[in-house]
Amino acid sequence: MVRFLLAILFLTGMVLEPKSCNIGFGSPTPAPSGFSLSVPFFYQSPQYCGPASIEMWAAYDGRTVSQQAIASYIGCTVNGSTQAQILKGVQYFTTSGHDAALLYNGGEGDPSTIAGDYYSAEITSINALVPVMPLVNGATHAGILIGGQWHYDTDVSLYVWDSVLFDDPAVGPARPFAAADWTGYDDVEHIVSLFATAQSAYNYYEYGGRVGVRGSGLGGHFLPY
Amino acid sequence: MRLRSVAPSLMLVAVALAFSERLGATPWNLMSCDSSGEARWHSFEQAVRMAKPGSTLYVPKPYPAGDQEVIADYLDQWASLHRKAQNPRNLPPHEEEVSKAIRGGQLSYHVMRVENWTGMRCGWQHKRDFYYLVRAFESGGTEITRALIADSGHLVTWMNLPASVPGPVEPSARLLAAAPTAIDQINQDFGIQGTDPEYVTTYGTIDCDFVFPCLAFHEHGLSYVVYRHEVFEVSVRGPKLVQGRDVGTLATNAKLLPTLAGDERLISLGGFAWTVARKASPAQIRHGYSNFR
Repeated sequence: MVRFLLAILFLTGMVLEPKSCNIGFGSPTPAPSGFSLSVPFFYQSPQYCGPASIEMWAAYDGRTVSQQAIASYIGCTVNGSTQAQILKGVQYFTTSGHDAALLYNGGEGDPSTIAGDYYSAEITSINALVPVMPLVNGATHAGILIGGQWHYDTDVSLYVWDSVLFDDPAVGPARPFAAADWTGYDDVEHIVSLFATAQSAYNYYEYGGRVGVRGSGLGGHFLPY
Repeated sequence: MRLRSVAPSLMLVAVALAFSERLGATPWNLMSCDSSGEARWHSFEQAVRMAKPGSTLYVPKPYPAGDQEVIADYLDQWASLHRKAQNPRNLPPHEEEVSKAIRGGQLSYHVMRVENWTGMRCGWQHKRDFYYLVRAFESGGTEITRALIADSGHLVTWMNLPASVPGPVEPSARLLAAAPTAIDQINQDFGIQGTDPEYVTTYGTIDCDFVFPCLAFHEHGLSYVVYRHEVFEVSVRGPKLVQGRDVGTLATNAKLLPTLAGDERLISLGGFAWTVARKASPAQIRHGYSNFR
């Protein structure tokens, strides 16, 4: 079954499925307007946003492990977790993230394309039913991206994201962010499964640029916030 | 004759008092955005103002001028996002009861201003010096939802039942007294004379969330932020850290954070600017002793 959602994000946008797609995910048919992964939510212990995020991702994969055990394994300190520590934890404690990698929304190349690929990876991963761990707040905080709400845009025949849902271990579960602002909040780094995001570049090149989300505009600018 | 000579002086005094009152209520921040973005920001504002229904930029009251216009933008976008019935599993917690209350017209709304010290203030496309925080209350006084609206009128994020859901957010941020009330309480608790109170949202290890902002204030010309009932001095004389170069990625943070002393916290000042804040004692604040001499 083709289970292409299609979604998009921000002004340079990203999408997954275009035309005659069969929307899956158990959403209402024929016009779905939201989807979220069933990720169990856990609040963080002090300084443990990294372990709490890993705990949520692992629980989604069916593995129960405490934040303390995760913190002990990866070597958390009062200053939180390093890149290597969080990656080590995701790869060790989760199944769907065993091949996790840290992706940076920047570096060499065209910033617009880099940003397009970056957000396409998030939607592509959710579409593949695999959570994403965005590093927000200037990479001083982490949580789990679990889904969002969208609408069907008749102009471009695509489903377009209006908002995303972010499990924030410091604040609460399924926290909504307008899609245009999400790209300002989660604008630096995220941890994703490489397998789950394998199609992200294709999706971006196929559909990116045709879409814009609420609160964004002036298509062509790579940072909508 | 005497009256005629006194009247202009009285007027001057009245104007001066009004102006000083106004200054006291004027929002403030420590860093300005790079003016090279002005043309883009202006272009975005014009596009928002001219947007028609159906546009991704449309809001009924672009750049709302008052509380009622902010509320109108909020309710319009809320209705738009909830135009279809959805599986409750795909919604934020308590969304159905909030939606029912909003549709039933049973809520009263209160709008607060939150200054934006996060990296999102000096964006590529638009500058967001501040946000509006819309708080919706039931008739019994229970706050049922809290939503952040950009100065352009666009809905950014929201949190339902902010005062009663569990989690590590501190009580004062949940209850969020009006800024003048909050500074009165801080002044009383710490024995200080803070002025110019305003709520701010920040990134960093002073993490003042969008819907759970922190109180910032001045005393003796110095700037402070209250975080988890501790007061931190924030100064332009502090370390000048740049997003992406010194801070803001896991790699840069891993180098920087271990160098901070126990009384130091990382805090964003807006755009690419970050600094290190230092905890200040009530005595230091009272006497105007800066930690950044």
